[in-house]
Amino acid sequence: VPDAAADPAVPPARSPYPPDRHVLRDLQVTGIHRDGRRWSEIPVVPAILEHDGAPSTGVIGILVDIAAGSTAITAAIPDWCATASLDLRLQRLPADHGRLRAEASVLRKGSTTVVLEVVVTDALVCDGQAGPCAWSSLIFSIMPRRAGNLTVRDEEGEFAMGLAQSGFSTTFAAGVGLEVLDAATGHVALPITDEARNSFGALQGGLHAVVADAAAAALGAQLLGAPVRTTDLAITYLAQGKVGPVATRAVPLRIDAGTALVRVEVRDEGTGRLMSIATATTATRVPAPTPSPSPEPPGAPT
Amino acid sequence: VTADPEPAPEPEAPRPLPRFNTGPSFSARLVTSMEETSTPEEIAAGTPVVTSAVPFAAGALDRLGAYRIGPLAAVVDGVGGLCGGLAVLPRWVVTSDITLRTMAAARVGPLHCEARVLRAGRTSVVAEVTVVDRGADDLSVAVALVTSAALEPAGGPPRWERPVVLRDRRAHPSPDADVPLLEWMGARPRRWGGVELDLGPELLNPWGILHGGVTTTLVDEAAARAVADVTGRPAVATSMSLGFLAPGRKGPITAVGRLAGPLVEGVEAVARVEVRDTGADDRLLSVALVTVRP
Repeated sequence: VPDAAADPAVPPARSPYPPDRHVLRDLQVTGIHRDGRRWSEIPVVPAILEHDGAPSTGVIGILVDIAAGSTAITAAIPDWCATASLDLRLQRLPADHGRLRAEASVLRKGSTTVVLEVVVTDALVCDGQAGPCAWSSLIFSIMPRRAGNLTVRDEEGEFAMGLAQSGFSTTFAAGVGLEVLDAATGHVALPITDEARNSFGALQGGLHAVVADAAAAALGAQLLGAPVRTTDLAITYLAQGKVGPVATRAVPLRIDAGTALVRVEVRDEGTGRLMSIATATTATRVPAPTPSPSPEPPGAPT
Repeated sequence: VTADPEPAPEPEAPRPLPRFNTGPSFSARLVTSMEETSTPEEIAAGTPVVTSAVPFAAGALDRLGAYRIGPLAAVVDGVGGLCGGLAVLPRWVVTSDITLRTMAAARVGPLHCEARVLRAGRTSVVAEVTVVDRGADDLSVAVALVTSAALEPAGGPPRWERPVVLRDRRAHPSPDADVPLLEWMGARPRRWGGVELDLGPELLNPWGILHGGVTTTLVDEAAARAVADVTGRPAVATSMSLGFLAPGRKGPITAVGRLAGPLVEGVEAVARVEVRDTGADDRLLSVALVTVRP
């Protein structure tokens, strides 16, 4: 988290990013760097729940992106970086209570990219009742530091983004201005407001996941004739969106019993630029939490 | 989560390509031609289009006669990589990640792939690859995004005459085309799950490192085994997201999959697969998330 990792005993000066009114503050993201591990957390609140009573896949995308991003930026010091691709696979429905945690690990840091893996856990994992609820792999492109990039300190600590006035008075979707305009074409719109920008001034990377999730789910529900959940989402980032509004278009790629695979284009209508392309699987049925079925074989080497 | 404690080096800068499919190479078993179909305007604009013909080799099919996702990803890697490389000339590319989704089973063949560049930047290039089954009325079979790192080759870029046409002039199918690809590669089951193979020259790419298509083929098999080991029934991988982290140079190469979540009747499972070079301090070469139909 930019400017996040400071001595917890000394309150850091307020970072210029994010501004006081921002989606990351409303989600009450907390970035934690402790004992060499890095993770981000959000509380599970009613505003982020979907029809099935679990946190939305798009919001999990935001959490994953911020957890990986803060880790990648630290790994890239003194340079800066931006999300190049995000692949998120839901294993089961996350719990409707407690906190969602995304822990990021660097798999590889090269001269041009940082590759990370993120494991998402919830209250059920804390209670020992289930395995991780999602896995994600991300690639960040390393870019030369420019004037205006935030200062980042690679120090342990905890940084809570939520402020006293942060939060959602209605739903998350309404809070960010997300609108489904035409489910049959996966047309979803999102304004690019200051509350939705990253430190470059472009649409925050996780919000690409939010609009792609919404577009895929809208079309998936139309195709399958029932409410659906996006169970996996693979996004490739192509260009920054700075003008807006963002508009999506989705087409079906495959329809099976209870699942629809969908391709989504995310475009900045203000410039006409293609911002990202996503493929997403939507499903009418998602595994409920159960104990992890994949123990190590007895005696397997570690 | 397994993290590589020592950051892996960047892939070596590529050397000029050898002639296309001249030896008993992995690629030669799958692809008979790659052809740039760009218009002069597209060449000038740096937005090349590359197509590829893929014969229906029995060795690449599953037990139900459908083309497996592992060799399909290998083909996609090749055609997407060539397309990306042409877009960033005089630099050249190595694949950094592939996301492949199947839309339908390819059961007739031959397959036809088409790659187009979506974005060519300073350090990376993204190509979208579509695959259709020519013998099934151009049924859409798969869509993939191939992201490659753009590098400055030490010996200069491959020297191409545009538009590029690469054709394998040998007779196809080869006499041993029906030999299962994994068997031809020398892949064998591991005692503790997954598969492994020794690294022979036919499994290297033109840069002399483990061929990306060998990796995708191993990942496919390891993911399917991870599910089949639990259910006791054969399983089929239907989508793959794979990142190339480091080059494989020594071997044996292992690919081990683990279920990433619960296995539920009627729901596709997700397996996480790690590919390692056990002869090089067990270096982590690739990590993939694979959707598997039990």
